[in-house]
Amino acid sequence: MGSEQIEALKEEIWRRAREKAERILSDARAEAEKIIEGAKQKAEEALRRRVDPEKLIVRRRVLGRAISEGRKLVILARNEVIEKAFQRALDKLRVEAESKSEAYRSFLLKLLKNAFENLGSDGGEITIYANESDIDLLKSMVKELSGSQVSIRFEKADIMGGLIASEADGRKVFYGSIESRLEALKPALRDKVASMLFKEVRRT
Amino acid sequence: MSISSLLLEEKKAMLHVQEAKKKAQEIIQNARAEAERILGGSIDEEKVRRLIEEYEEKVRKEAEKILEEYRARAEKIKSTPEELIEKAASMIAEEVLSHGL
Repeated sequence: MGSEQIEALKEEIWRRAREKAERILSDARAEAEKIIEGAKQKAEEALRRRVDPEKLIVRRRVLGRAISEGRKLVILARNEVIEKAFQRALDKLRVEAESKSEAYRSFLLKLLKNAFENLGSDGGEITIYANESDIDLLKSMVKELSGSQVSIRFEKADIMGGLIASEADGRKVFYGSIESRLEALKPALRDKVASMLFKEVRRT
Repeated sequence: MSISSLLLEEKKAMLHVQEAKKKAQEIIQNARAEAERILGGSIDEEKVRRLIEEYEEKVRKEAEKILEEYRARAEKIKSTPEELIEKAASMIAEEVLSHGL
């Protein structure tokens, strides 16, 4: 075997050895990377398990507060507009009462009849409290109502309109002032008013 | 130069591979130790706190958007047309003068 052939063989031996050593190291590095990456993923998973429930609590708390505050704003806005409608209704009723409109006269007459039906069954005295401007009108209505055998006394009251009637001993009282009727009807009317006012808003 | 020198070279080359194997084992052992260190340590509470704070900030922005939508709804309600309020007021007045009488 010539020296050149031996040299070539030596080189081949070293080429193979280096190649093998390099592969061993590169496989080891890849394996090491896999081991560390796996550990990091497990650690991340553990962190997520620790953090996620708290995130859920934070989400519920923050969004829950925003939704509750938002709903409150909407309810307040609705109440504001509904109250505006009731206030406007009170103004209209004041105009009706002051002008002694036909509707108002009819209202007073019906109230008077209701008061007589509810009070004075024992023939005692009834006191009718009314706005000063309505007293003459009420007196004339009482005269028109045939069959009213009870004795009636009129008293001025600080009410917008309508009347309050009371038996002399105060045991029975009939509340028919505009203000009290409006307050009594308010709960029942609120839904009706809301549906009139907000049906357009609801649709959008 | 002879076959014996070739055998010597072969032996040296084998040692080189052996060295690589030793080094490879070392690399894997170090990686395992590092993995144990990563998994063995307790959860970094400071990191937990920071992550939750960052998340809360993100959710707050979401909440602000929701609140903005409700504000817009409330504004729309407040700008209910006057004629509708007037119509509702007339209905109320009519009910007061006639209801149950």
